[in-house]
Amino acid sequence: MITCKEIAGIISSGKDVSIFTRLSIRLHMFLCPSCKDYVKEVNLLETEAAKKLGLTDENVAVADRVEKRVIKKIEGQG
Amino acid sequence: MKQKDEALNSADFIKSLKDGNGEALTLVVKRYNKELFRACIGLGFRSDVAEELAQRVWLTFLDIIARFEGRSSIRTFLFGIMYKKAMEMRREEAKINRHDDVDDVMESRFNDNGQWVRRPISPEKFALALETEGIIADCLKPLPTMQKMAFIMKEVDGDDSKSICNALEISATNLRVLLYRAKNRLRECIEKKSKGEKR
Repeated sequence: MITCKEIAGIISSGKDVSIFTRLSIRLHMFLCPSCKDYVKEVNLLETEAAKKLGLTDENVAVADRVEKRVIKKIEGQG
Repeated sequence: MKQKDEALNSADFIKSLKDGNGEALTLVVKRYNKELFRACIGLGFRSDVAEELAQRVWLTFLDIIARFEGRSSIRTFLFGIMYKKAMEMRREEAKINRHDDVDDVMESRFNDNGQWVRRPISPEKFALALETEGIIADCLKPLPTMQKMAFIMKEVDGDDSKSICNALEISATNLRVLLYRAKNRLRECIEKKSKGEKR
């Protein structure tokens, strides 16, 4: 039987596991509210981090400018 | 086996290896892979790390076989690569596996049977805390650089594991360690900040 601790390890590290293990995790989560909460929170963390820390349009524009300048410089040298 | 090894070290065979002949290369892989893997285990690497090491050795072997000068046997050449890569891997492991506080925190959250001792806070509270302005950035700040980079590349930039491993020059195993630590540090930090320490 898979333990809560093992599930926390697999979920947060992103380890690839067999279909059998995936099913055991599903079953375990069905029976264990703590693990269900934990997995939910790790997922929330991932999606929110992607939303809040991702490049803003403004940052993208700045990065583009830098890129153009660098490329120009390279071309100028060549 | 001895006879077979002699065939694998004949001038003709070595020439075909250096020319990148697929059949010849496959023959070498088949002949030495088990032995190579066993040697990796023998050096004390865990099975998953040994797997990674053996793969790196073969990739390097394929990369540099064209420069093989035939002054040693193919086997010695291959194992020479292995020792060098093993040393690299040890250094890398030492850098990443140094003890991290979050390992103790996680250890303390489970009992000897691996069951939760203290439940995580409720996902509702957790989600609410995540809405706090700047909370993720604040919790991210104290993370070791490698953990931070691994987390951002994986979850924010959405890069695939393989390219992250290449960019950070780490093994897949070590990436998992970094992500495990980063995510649990962040989750613990957000849980703590969401005041109502209990549920």
